[in-house]
Amino acid sequence: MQRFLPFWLGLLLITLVSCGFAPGSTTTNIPNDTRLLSERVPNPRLIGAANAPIKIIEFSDYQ
Amino acid sequence: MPQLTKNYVDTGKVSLEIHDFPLTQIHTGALMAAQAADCSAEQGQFFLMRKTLFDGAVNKEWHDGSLDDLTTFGNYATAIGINRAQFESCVTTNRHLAQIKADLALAQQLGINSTPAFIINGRLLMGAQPYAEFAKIIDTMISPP
Repeated sequence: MQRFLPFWLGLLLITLVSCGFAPGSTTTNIPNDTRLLSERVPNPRLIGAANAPIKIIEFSDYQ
Repeated sequence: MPQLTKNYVDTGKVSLEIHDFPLTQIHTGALMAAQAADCSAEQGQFFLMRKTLFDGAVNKEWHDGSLDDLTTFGNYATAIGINRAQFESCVTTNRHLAQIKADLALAQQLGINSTPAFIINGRLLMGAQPYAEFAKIIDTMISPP
């Protein structure tokens, strides 16, 4: 079994790389944050201090 | 609203949060535009894309949510410096559709049926209003008579 250890290690490394866990492996650039934007901190659709005394919510269309 | 930003947001008195309200019944490109804005938000450039979309609509660079519009929006993404592949994947997979639906549900709950509409600490202000109107309302809220 020990003779085949490098083989098994190599197979494990290949498996890890294909699953994206090994160092040097590449991952697709897909954000994994599944929260709504309005639930994120900081909220990317908000300007100003989150604890400002006056909060304006604007509903808008782009056309 | 540059004056509002300068006089109230930058001074810590006001925060401004944008929600989508795509009027899809009359604006066929509205939903994709909302997606484009939200997909830019996840890369930290929501407000820059928002301005670009508004300017593009005025200049008739996009209008109907077609593949041509998707290309235009992709060009916008490149111009504002975000990852175009991530952006296009986000738009075409409707990644932020749940956010848009939540925004529409909130608008309906608040009795909003047209844009722009503003909720200022619970007070509804409908339509495009001059800066002076915002200032009057905000100043009254900050320092009630």
